[in-house]
Amino acid sequence: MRTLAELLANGLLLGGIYALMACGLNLIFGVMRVINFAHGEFLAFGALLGVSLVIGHGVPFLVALVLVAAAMGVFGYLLQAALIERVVDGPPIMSLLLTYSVSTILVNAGILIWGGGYRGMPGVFSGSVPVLGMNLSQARLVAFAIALGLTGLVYGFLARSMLGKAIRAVSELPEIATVSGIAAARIRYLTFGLGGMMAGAAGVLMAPMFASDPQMGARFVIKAFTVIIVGGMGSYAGALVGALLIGIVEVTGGYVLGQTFGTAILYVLMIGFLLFRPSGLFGLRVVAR
Amino acid sequence: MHMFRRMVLTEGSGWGAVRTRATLAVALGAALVVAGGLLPAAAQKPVTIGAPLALSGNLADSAAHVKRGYDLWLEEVSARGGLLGRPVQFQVYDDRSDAATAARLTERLITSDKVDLLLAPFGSAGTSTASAVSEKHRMVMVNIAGASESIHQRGFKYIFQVVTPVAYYVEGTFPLAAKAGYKSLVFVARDYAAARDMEKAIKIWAPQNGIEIKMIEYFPAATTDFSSYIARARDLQPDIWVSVGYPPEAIEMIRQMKATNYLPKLFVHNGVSQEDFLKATGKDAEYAFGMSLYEPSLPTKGNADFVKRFKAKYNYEPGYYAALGYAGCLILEEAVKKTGSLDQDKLAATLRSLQTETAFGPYAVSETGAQTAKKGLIVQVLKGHREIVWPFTQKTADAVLPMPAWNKR
Repeated sequence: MRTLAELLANGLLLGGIYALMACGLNLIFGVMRVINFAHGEFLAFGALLGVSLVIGHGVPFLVALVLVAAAMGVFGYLLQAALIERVVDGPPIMSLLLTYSVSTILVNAGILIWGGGYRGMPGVFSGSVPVLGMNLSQARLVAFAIALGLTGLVYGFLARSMLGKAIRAVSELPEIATVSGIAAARIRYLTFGLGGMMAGAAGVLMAPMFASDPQMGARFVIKAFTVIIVGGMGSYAGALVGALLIGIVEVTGGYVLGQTFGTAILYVLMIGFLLFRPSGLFGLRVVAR
Repeated sequence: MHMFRRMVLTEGSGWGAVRTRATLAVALGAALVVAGGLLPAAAQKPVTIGAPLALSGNLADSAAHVKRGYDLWLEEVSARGGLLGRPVQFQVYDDRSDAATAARLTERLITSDKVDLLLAPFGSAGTSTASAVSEKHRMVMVNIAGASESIHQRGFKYIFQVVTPVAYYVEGTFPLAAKAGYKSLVFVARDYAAARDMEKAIKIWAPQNGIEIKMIEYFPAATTDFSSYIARARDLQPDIWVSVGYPPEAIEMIRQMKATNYLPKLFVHNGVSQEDFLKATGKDAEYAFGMSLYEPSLPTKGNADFVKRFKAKYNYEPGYYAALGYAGCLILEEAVKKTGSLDQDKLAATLRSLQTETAFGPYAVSETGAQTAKKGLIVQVLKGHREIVWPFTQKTADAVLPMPAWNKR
């Protein structure tokens, strides 16, 4: 019983980081209907930059987190302005191919910069914390708190601020937003920047718990896609709830259902949602545009 | 395609530069020798060794070490006067870490470049496909780093293994466990062919050593969270946790074991013997056991010298990939010298009966060319370094068992 409670708690904590990763992805999709295949590489760059700063240059973890998140935000903004904006109005396959090629380029650029090997943040939040007789991961507790904080902050920004409202306007009714005087293109740059920032921050938060390498994006982006399919494409709240659910399922599934079925359960869940509830838990109704 | 062509050209020009320098040396040498009235050995057509190798793609990082092993040997063999009195050159092509490309390049090396000798590409998948091509052409291929047993279970007559077959990586765990009186193990492995080979070996060795197998589980590629396996192990309380897979999994297992305050008495993973593991986990790496094949401290024939020269040339200590590349060339050299010709059937017969030792370790093969002499090593991270703890005859330190709990360090 204690073991199960411990697993549930660790799964929930892991879900918090998935939320940060998936919310960025879903935000980009919600605003411009672009599926960002390079999202995993943003995560990998975040993690590796974080390792370089913290381990290579002795920068405190939280400072590195802010620096890397800002850098990846600027990178996302520029990427949208320079490349993705050009195909935003084209057929979806164009942006898919474009972000896929960006992802390939980033993986190889990462290998050139950091080499193909694996890195980590030894000694950063590496222990366990006893909570109510359970052993919880220090790294996951810290990451959960920061990830949920950041996700909440972005949510607040979208709900309250003028810019956030403009983002939502472009997301929901791009034509009306444009005639109302919102510079839709600039809003899209900003959105991609925001998504990039969230992925970069998620990368830094993951560096203390997982091995980081230029190809790590592929290991995690599939989970981000699972999260947004379960939570609902384009829905910010959906991604949050979906992520917590996926975290719990991933960590406890194998223990409860046996490893063979447990490892498949994530994808069974994804296929189930695609078949029976394609809009996910909270998703926008998918309308052909 | 364009990319591929460029890679080959770049690579070719690198060797071309070596050739240009060699030609100069040859010209100079020839002038001297002719003056002396002797037949100039070096003026003969060079012996060409063909080698498809992963110069790009996901294996490139590992294969780069192999190539440095080749390069170091090439320098040495040239200083020794080449092979059969002829100079030696390499023809290396980039297989982009792709097994099908490796096979295609092997075909090209044999039929179009007409190379004299062949080295296998990096890894089991490429070695498997490329050796099917060389077998068809009755060309000898030296299997450098293809550890999968299936390569040598196809009845081939021209493929000879230098690396230890994968099942034997784990062998040393059992004498260590027996010495400490351990009685149970769990096996948690990445789902790939090598692990299935290892499972068979464990099922033979564990009962022989009075060890009960409490769990055998496979996880798919891209698994990053091992909490449920750790939780199962916490319930089962095995003495030993054996894992085989890639380095990130070793890193994540150790981190997650520490994060949930769990540790078996003996944790052994092949990834522990990679430098990345030490760098990524820091102090948490301490006391972990690794399956290894080669360490710079190994007291094998010529190893101290190899390590010294390798370090002088590349500024780091060779790992097992570099040692394998170097050893593969040395074995080929010895076999060619012993045979006295490049006749492939005679060379195959020599390689089948050859018993020798290189820096990597002993060499002897079975009828099917599978490596039989070279054992795996078990290492333990002690004070930040990998120490050999098995075979006991080659140990550089005594194993510390049980591994001290996280809160007692």
